[in-house]
Amino acid sequence: MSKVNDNFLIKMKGVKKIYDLGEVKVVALKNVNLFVKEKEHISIMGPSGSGKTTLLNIIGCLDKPTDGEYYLDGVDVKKLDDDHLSGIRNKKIGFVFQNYNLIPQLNVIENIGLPLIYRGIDEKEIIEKSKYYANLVGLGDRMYHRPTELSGGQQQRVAIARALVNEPVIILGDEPTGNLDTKTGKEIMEIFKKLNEMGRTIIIITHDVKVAEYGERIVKILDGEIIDER
Amino acid sequence: MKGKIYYLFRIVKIGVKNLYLHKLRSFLTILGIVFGVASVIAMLAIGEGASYEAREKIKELGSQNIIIKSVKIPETRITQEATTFVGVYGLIEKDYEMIKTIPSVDFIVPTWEMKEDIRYMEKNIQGRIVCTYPEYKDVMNVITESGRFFSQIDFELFKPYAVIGASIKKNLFPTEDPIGKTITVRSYNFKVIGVAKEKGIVSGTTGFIAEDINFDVYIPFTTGRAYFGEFEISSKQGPIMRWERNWVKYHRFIVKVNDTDKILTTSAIIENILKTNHKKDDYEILVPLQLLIQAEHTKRIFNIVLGSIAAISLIVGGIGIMNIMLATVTERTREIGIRRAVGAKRKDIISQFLLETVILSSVGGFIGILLGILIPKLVTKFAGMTTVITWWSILLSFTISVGVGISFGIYPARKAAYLDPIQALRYE
Ligand SMILES: Nc1ncnc2c1ncn2[C@@H]1O[C@H](COP(=O)(O)OP(=O)(O)OP(=O)(O)O)[C@@H](O)[C@H]1O
Ligand SMILES: [Mg+2]
Repeated sequence: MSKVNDNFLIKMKGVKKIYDLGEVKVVALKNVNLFVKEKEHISIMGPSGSGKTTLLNIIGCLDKPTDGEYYLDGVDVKKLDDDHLSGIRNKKIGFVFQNYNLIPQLNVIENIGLPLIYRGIDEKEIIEKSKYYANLVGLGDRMYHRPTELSGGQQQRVAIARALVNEPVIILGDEPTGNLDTKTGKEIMEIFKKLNEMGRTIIIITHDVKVAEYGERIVKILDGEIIDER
Repeated sequence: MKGKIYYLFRIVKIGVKNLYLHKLRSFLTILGIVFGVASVIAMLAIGEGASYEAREKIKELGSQNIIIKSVKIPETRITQEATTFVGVYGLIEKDYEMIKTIPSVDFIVPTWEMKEDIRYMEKNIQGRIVCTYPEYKDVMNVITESGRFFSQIDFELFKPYAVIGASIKKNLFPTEDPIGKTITVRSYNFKVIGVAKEKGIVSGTTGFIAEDINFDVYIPFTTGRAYFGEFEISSKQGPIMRWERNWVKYHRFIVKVNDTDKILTTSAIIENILKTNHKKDDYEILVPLQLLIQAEHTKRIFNIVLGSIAAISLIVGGIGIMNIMLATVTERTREIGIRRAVGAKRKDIISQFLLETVILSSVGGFIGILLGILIPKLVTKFAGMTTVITWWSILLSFTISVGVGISFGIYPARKAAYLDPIQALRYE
């Protein structure tokens, strides 16, 4: 499990994911080999049902591969138990989803600070950091609003701030602009771009070629396999 | 450490927020707990009240005593004229002599009593004149607040001395010191030599008619007999005023038994003696110790009845809470997924939902405690039963409500924690 002589943040070899539904087995990922260096910005593209979300969930330690190797930051994810996976998600990963996934009962600040409450950080620091990131994504004047009082673009900014608040190594976006109009989508992508320039590794799934072009590398996936990388 | 407290505080805050969001639902959910906890407190308060009452009564009547009372029954007349009844009833000399010879009897203190007006200057109050022996003080635990009880010498010398009860003092001598003053009963004067300390009267669920002994006046038996004789005279109101004269030798015997263990056997012997001596049922035997047995009985009945209500309410309440929490978990599946995605461990999810359940059941417990305090008060007011709410019963029922929260909350909480985060995030 030692860090081998490379500087890959993500190292996947022969990753398979099979959903066992009893009678049928759905092969979501057939054989994925993926290497990502730190500070890369990668776009994942592919038709619906090709396994993009599945791959992203595995990268983000929300799910484990059925087979194959996956090292994240030198750690063999396969060997980790649920608590450790939670710990990794909490410290190293920031998720941004297509449908924002904010908690409706909590206001902007509370939603942003959510990852930090599972770290035992004190309240004052949580609020300070949450405010900082709210300002960073341009929501300084909406801090005490509920998600339902925000536009889609604003909600996605909250989600991005939440993904940033724990200062993760990787930010994963599953069609983060999918629900947004072109203009707002562009604004969101500018934020990602800026984050990448600030040194974050970014992996984004998208169907939109314009969005994909923000990435330095586009990974194309079909039927659970990577078919093209450039 | 500080972080942990904030963490806990956050969960509590979120828990309260969520419950507040569904006020009516939360309220309905906790009703079972409310009634369960209220029953527990009421049960313990009534049971405790029954034994308290018995203990107090025993304190008043003496735990080693057997009390035998004369009872007037309608057929006691021997002659009947237009305006006068003459009758005979009650305990007789033979009873006294025979009971005295029972080996387990330490001594027997007889009394002769009458209700009479007691006068001092122009004031006047009705009391009970108790003609008795000096030992009465000890067997009935009469404590003199000032002055003294009459002595053997006073008794032998037929002294016209009186020891008055606290209420007599209050009425006749509200501001003065009664010691040395002269009170008048019928046409006889008595010198007050002592005042008995006030005693609480215990209301009766136990079959004994409560007597306010604070209206007693104790005088030497010898003096009483010499002044008042053995006839009890009372007037009877009716179309015409009638007089009733009853010949009563003794009104009460207080029998002191030398060993608590022998009380029941002694009372059985006494009962046999009285049965042979009396053709009619003109006596009554009271065994204060039996009150305890009776109180235990009352307590047991209440424990069974209210205990079942409590158990059923708590179980139903617990199931209700579990049901609601399961619904909550389903409703908040996506929230659980989000929390898991940002790094919540399973135990974080468990604590969150468990704490929410515990808050819910604790609020139920709290309302139940308030209701549980109210119920015994109403029972006392309307049924006249003594109730005693102990702090430990409140603590116990609160613990129970928290316990119900934990035991019925653990399943929904675990269910929430073991949801697959991916599925949870997809949940619509
Ligand atoms: N939890 C699951 N149980 C069973 N099958 C699943 C599950 N999750 C995904 N799949 C299947 O795995 C395959 C890949 O799904 P995935 O969600 O990764 O696709 P995707 O590329 O993200 O598609 P889209 O662009 O529509 O989001 C699909 O055939 C899907 O039906
Ligand atoms: Mg997808």
